[in-house]
Amino acid sequence: MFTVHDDTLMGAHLSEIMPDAVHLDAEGLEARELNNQLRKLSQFHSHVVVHNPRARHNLGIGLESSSCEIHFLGSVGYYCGGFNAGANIVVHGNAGWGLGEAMASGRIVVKGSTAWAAGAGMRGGVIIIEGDGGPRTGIAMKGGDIFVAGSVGFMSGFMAHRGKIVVLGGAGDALGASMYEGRIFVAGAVASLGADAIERELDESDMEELRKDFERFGLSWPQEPIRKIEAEGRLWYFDKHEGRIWRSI
Amino acid sequence: MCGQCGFILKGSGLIGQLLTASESAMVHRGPDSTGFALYGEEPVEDRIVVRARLAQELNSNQVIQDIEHNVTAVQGSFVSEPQMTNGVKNSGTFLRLLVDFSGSPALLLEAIESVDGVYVHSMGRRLEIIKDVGTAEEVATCHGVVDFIGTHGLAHSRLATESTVDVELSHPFWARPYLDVAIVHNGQLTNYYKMRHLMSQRKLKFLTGNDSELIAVYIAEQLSEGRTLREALWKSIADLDGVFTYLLATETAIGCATDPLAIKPLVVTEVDGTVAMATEEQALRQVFDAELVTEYVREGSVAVWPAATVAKRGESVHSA
Repeated sequence: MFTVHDDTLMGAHLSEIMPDAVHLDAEGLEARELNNQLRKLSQFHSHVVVHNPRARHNLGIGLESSSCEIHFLGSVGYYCGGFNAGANIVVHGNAGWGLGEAMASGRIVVKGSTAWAAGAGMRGGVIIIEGDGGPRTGIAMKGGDIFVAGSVGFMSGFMAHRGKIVVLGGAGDALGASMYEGRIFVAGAVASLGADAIERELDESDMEELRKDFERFGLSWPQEPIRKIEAEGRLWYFDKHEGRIWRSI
Repeated sequence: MCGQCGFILKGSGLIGQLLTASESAMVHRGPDSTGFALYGEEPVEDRIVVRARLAQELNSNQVIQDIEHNVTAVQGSFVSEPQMTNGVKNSGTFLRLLVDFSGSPALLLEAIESVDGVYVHSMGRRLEIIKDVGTAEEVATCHGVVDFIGTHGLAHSRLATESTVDVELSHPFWARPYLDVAIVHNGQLTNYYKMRHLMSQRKLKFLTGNDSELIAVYIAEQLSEGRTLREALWKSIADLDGVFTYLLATETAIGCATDPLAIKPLVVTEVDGTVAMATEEQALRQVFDAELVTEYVREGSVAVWPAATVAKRGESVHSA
């Protein structure tokens, strides 16, 4: 989960590609104040660059839909982009726990890796993690898509109700444990599948969907084959006479 | 919840200041009490540093006389005048003693604690545990932690979840009576009473009923039996049940072990030879200006970072 970032290089790079950006220093600003400013600025500008996030929590919470791109220059702490209602957020570093928690729409791109539970309970929108996702990535997600260029940790997709997780670098233990209707596409080694998770054949519509996604988000097709993990459905209904099934999973 | 951190410097330096700055960024994780385990720079043969608290209602001069009497009775002697500090929020008088003593540490501990109302927080050739109620800033200012020079150390802000807010129940814990072993712990053990029962049968003693103290004593016992720190940490993952991400410091290293789910996070980084670890990444960013290369410790894993070799005052220091 190592990623190296350099503020200066990134800064120079950003100023070239977005000369019109508004710059904001997070240093000394309360998270609430910073988020209020982001809400306002994002309605009037095409790019907002936030300096010195210093891995602080609750940055970019509850932002609304706009054509603006919000860039955090450095790592962010817990719950970055939570309750996102349509904003485009780019994190030039790592993200802490609960990235994009309960987001409804919009897009969050993380150039580094994420800690636990990225996209927890998300309902829509897209999260793209260019490094590794931590354990429980996409836990209890109810919609939206998560793309991870690296690996994800244990119990990713746990209790996912809906939505899609695409992982290109393998997964830890108990992948897709107790899922409902979510789908996981994974390339690379999987340590183990979780309770009720089952591997299914990819059909042509899956392939078509993934091809479009990869093209849209600039992801390269993995060398290893992609597997599709879904819920077998044995946990969907409870019947007291099926105690044996419950004990077996 | 709790927030903990640890630092290993390249040589000797303002370890107390670093720990205070880092811990201050995690006040929201536990504002009840704060503690520091600091490893000073100058060990002297047969000399033991004792940190203790005297209950508030006691006459401290009388208590110190009683302690000196008991220490003399076990062939020990005070090297210098005892230092006294009044705690934050009337939490009592805090005592630092330098004792010349070559017997068993357990004997010295018993001699000191046989005086009523005296609670020994740490004993070691280099270890000094300073803990009190209040935030990192309050405790560090009150007890002069910011001026402390040393090679490595731990700090902990506590959110009391399973017992009351109390100085003795706050972290770090010393692995009594083993010199120089200290722990900070985030989590709770579920097989505490079983472990305590087994360890009591082996005549191990505890000051409190706190599960974190038990882990410290457990590891110290393993070390005293000749296991390496790494071996002891691995064994603890098998023997302990519950939630834990703990940092254990000795005179020569800081070790870490996590339970198989690692629900309590710990972020580690290294900057120019200084190794730093903290529950939250922002606590590290508080100390280092540059963007950091950080890593979360993995579930069910151990790590050991060696501390700098100790130099006597005036000598140059090289990292281990």
